[in-house]
Amino acid sequence: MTAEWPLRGSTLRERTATAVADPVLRANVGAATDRFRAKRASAMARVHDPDGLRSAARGVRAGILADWAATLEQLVDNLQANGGQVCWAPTAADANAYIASVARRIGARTVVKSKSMATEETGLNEALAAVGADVVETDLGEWIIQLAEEHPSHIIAPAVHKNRHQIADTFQDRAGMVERVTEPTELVAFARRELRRRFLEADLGITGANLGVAETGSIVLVTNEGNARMVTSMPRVHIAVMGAERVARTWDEADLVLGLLAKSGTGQSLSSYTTVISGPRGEGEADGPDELHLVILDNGRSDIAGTEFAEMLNCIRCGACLNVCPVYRQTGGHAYGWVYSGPMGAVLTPLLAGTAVHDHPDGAGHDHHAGELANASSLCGACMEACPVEIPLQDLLLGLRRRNAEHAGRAERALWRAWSEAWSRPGAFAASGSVAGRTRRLAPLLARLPGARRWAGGRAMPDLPARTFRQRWDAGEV
Amino acid sequence: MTEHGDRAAFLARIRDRQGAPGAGGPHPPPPPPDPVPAVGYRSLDGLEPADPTALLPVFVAALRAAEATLDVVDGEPSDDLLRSLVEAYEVRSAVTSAEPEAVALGERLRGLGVEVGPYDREAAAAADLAVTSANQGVAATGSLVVDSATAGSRAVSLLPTVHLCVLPLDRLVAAPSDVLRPQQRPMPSARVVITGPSRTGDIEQRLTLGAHGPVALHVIVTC
Repeated sequence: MTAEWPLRGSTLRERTATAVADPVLRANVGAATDRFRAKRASAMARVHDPDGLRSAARGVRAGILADWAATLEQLVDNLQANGGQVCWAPTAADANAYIASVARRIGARTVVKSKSMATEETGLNEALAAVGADVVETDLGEWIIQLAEEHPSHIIAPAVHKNRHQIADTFQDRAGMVERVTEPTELVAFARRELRRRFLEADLGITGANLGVAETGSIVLVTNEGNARMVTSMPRVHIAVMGAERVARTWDEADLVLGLLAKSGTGQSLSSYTTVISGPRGEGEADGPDELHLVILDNGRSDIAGTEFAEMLNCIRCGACLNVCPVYRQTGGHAYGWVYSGPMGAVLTPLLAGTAVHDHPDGAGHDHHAGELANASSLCGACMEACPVEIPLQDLLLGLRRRNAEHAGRAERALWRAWSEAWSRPGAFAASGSVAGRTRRLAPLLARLPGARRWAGGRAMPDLPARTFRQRWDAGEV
Repeated sequence: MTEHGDRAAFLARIRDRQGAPGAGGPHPPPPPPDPVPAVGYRSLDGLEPADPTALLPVFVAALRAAEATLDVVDGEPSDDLLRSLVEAYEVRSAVTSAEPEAVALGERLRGLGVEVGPYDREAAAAADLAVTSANQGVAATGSLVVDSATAGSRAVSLLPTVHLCVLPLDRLVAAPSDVLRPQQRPMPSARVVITGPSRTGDIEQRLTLGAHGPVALHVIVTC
C-alpha cells in the first residue's frame, strides 16, 4: 500500500468535488451512516440516562489525562511485570523503526495486522514492506482497501464506499478469486479462507489498542470479526501500537468507556469480542505469543495537551460523529485527505499536522492544507451530541477557524477590519443598510461575477426590501 | 531488554503540559465523577442482580439478539439434545478446552461418534466444533467470559467452525460491569468477553456471520 495520502497535494474543495461526483460513494455512505445512526439510537435507548453517562465519561477521560504521565508509567510497569516489553515512540518514525527491528530480528516473512488507525497514521505498512515483510490487513474492510490500494473512508467501516460488485472486482484482480461471486456471504467466505491461511502462517501479529488499563497492565482490543483474537493468538510475536492517550487508570474507568464504545460505534451492546491481553503466552497455555510488545505513540499528541484543544485527546475513535455529520454524510472520508475523517478528523488532523502529518513517510510536508479541514463543518453540533465522551467538537472547530484567521492574508484581515470599523459607527451602519437596499436588483448579477459565482451558485439570494427598518421607523410605519 | 526508547523524556514532555484545562468555551467539562458510574441496562430493571434464575430470561433474550442460540437444561444435557446439535451443525470433529465441564461434554460427544481431542492449533483449525465452558455469563448483553488460563488456550473458542459453550446457571451475573470491574488477579494472559458469533458488516452493511471466528455460537445453560 504505497498510495500517497491526498492531503498533501490537493485542497479540501478539490477532494470534496471528487467525492460528491461519485454516486456509488454517496449512496453507500448515506445508507451506512443512516444505519449506524439508527442502531446507535436504539442501543442508547436500552440503557438508563445515556446523556448522564456521556457526561460522566467526559469527566473520566479528562481526569485520566490530568494524570496522564503517571497512568502511562503504571501501565508500563505492570505490563513489564506481566512479561511484556515496551517501546516509547515520540514519533511515527520511532515506532516504525522499532517494529521493523523486531520484524528483522525474528525474520518475519508474513505479518498479520488487525485494524489500527495509529499504524495508518505512522505509515507502518510501507515501513515493514521496506524490510521485506509481507503485510496483510485482516479486518475485512481494511483488507479490501489494502488490495485496492485505497485509503479507509470511515474509521470503523473502512470500505464503506465500495459496493459488492466493486469488491468482487478487487478480489478477482488482486486476490486471485477464480470463480466470481458477488453475494456478501460468498465474498466473506472467500476472505475467511484466504485470511485463515495467512493467520496460521504468520510470524508477527500487529494490533492497535482500544485502551490500555494501568492497574493491571492490560491492553483491550475490540473487534467483531475475531481478527484481533487471531492476530494475538497465532503468531509467535504480538506488537500492539497504542496512541499514548488511549489509557485508563482503573477497570471502573475502562468499564464505562467500553460500555459506551460499541453502542456509539456500531450500535451493539458490546462488540462480538472484547479481548483483554495482559501478557505473552501464560504458563501451561497451548497458544499465544512468546513475546508481547506495546509501542506507545506520541506523534504530536503531547502537543495537544494543555491547549484549548486538549479535549480532543479524550476521543475513543468510535466513529459516531462521522455518522451524524451532515458534511461527512455527503462526502465520505476521503475528502478529509488523511487518516481521520468526519468531525473528529477535521479537528485532529490539523492538530497533528504540525508533527504527525509532516513526518509521515509519504512526505506530506509544508504544503499540506490541513488547517482548512476546520471549514468542513456546518457547526450544527450534532457531533458533540453523538460523542460518547462529549467532546465539544464544534467549539474546537471554531477554535481552529480562529487560529486560521489569525494566520489569514493581509488583504483578508484588512477587509474584515474595515467592515468591523464601519459597523461600529451608527452613521456608517445606517448607510450600509440603504446601500444594500438599493443594490437588491444587483443580487442576481452577483451570481455571474467570476469571484462570487461559486459562492452564489448554491444559494438563494434574499429579497432585500427597498427601505431599511430605520427608514420605516423614522417614517412612523413601524 | 524489556524497555526501549527514553521513558523519562517521553513522560517529561507530557508532564509539562498535562492537566491544563481544555476548551473552556461555552461547554466546560464536568469534574471527574466519583465513583465512576456503571452503564445501567433497562432490561435488568426490577431484577435481583444476585439471583441467576431471575437473570436467565434476560440472558436468553440478549443471547438471541446477539445471533447466538441456546438450550436451558436441568442437570446434564440429554443425548437427544447433543445428537440434534451434532446433526444440525454436521459435527464430525471437535476440540475441547481444559475446563472440566468441556472435557466431560467432549466425552459424551465421543460416545456419539464425534472425533474429540484436546486443543492444538492444527486440530482446532480443522475442527467442526469447539467445546468450552465460561467463567461467567453476562445477562444484560448475552456475553460469555472465557480466559486463556482456565480454557488452556486463547484460540480454542475461535478456530473451529461452531462454538458450543456449556454454562452452569450459577455463573450468571447481571451486567458487564460485574465482570470488568472486579478483574481477578493475577490476570490471565488473555481474557475475552464473547458476545455472539464472529461477524462483519463490511460489505454493504450486510450482517454476515463467521468472518474469521465461529459462524455459530450455541450455549447450553445447565441448571
